[in-house]
Amino acid sequence: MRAAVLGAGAVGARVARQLLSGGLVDQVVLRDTDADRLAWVSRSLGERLIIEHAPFPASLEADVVVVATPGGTQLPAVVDALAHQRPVITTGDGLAETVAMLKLAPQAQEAGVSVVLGAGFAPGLSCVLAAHGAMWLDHVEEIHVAKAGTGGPACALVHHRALSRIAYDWRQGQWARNPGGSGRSLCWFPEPIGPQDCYRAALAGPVLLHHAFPQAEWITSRVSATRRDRLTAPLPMLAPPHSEGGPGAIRVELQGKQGGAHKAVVLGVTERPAVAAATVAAAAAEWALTGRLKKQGMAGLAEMVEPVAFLHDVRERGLVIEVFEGDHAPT
Amino acid sequence: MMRTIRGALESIMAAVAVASVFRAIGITRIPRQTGGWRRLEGPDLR
Repeated sequence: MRAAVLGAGAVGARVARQLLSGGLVDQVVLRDTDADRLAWVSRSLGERLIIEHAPFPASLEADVVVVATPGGTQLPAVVDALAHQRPVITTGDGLAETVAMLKLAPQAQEAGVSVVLGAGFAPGLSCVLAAHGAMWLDHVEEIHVAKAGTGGPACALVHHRALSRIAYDWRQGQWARNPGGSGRSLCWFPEPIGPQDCYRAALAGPVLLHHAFPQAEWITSRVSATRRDRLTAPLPMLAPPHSEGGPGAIRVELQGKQGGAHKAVVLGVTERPAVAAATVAAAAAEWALTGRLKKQGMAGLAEMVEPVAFLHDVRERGLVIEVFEGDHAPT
Repeated sequence: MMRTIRGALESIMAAVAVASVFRAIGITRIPRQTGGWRRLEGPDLR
């Protein structure tokens, strides 16, 4: 089988590596506009990697396409893959782009292909954790996702912009608009991240989670940020973003009812965000290749995979999933 | 004008001093965590 990975950044290069080491994929086509970056990646991935840099060949022969290009450039890749009826896995978390992609859902359904949106750390693994936590409840009332840390420079840029744009939370049957960088909440992540101040941001998590959990009354998504992050968010990034951030984490809290009583479920993962995102995207791509995705059309991971089996899969790939246990799960 | 600036600076310094005292005696705005994280094991993944 042959997979195509668009983007050779912190996530894309790792997706290519994981797909080649998984045994299912024979060849990976890796596309990027940066020839130096491609050359650097290809040195460590061997002859089964085919690199293509701009201007790209018109045809792309692949059984699945993983889109790991910077935010704002993923939509054309999805349109192209839909035109060729190829399954697509996207890793972006930008709000506007995800909403634009969801408008293509009827086309994906008509074409009979699966398009997985936001198959990264959060959204992505966070959606699967929400789906898994929901199995412990009879009725899900609230879902609150928090994320700490960023992946590569493209991810850092998306988070920087997200803190200054309008964030959308789902609350009591409608979308609540709030400024990014507002709504401070102290969120406890698994160690070593620990407690972090988190704020609203214009990210795609609530949109994908509402798609998967239309019955939930309150869905929020927050990212950790410092005072400097919030102060400088409306400005262009003053310093070039890091090549890759340090450790990050996600935390998914579900509130609901079980047996008539109120219950909270809190799940979390600590990992470098780019590593976790690549692990999730590679696993999703292999699920697409083996026909294990639950449905055709377009949706987030919560609707596309069976959560227990998927969590087993990413656990075998090295991610450590944790659950919070206590009298009261602090937020 | 100078009195206004001086007054503002004195207010800030007083606030910083009070915050430092609270921090020194262990009172912070971070609440204690009343539980802990554990790995999701086999029985949790069924």
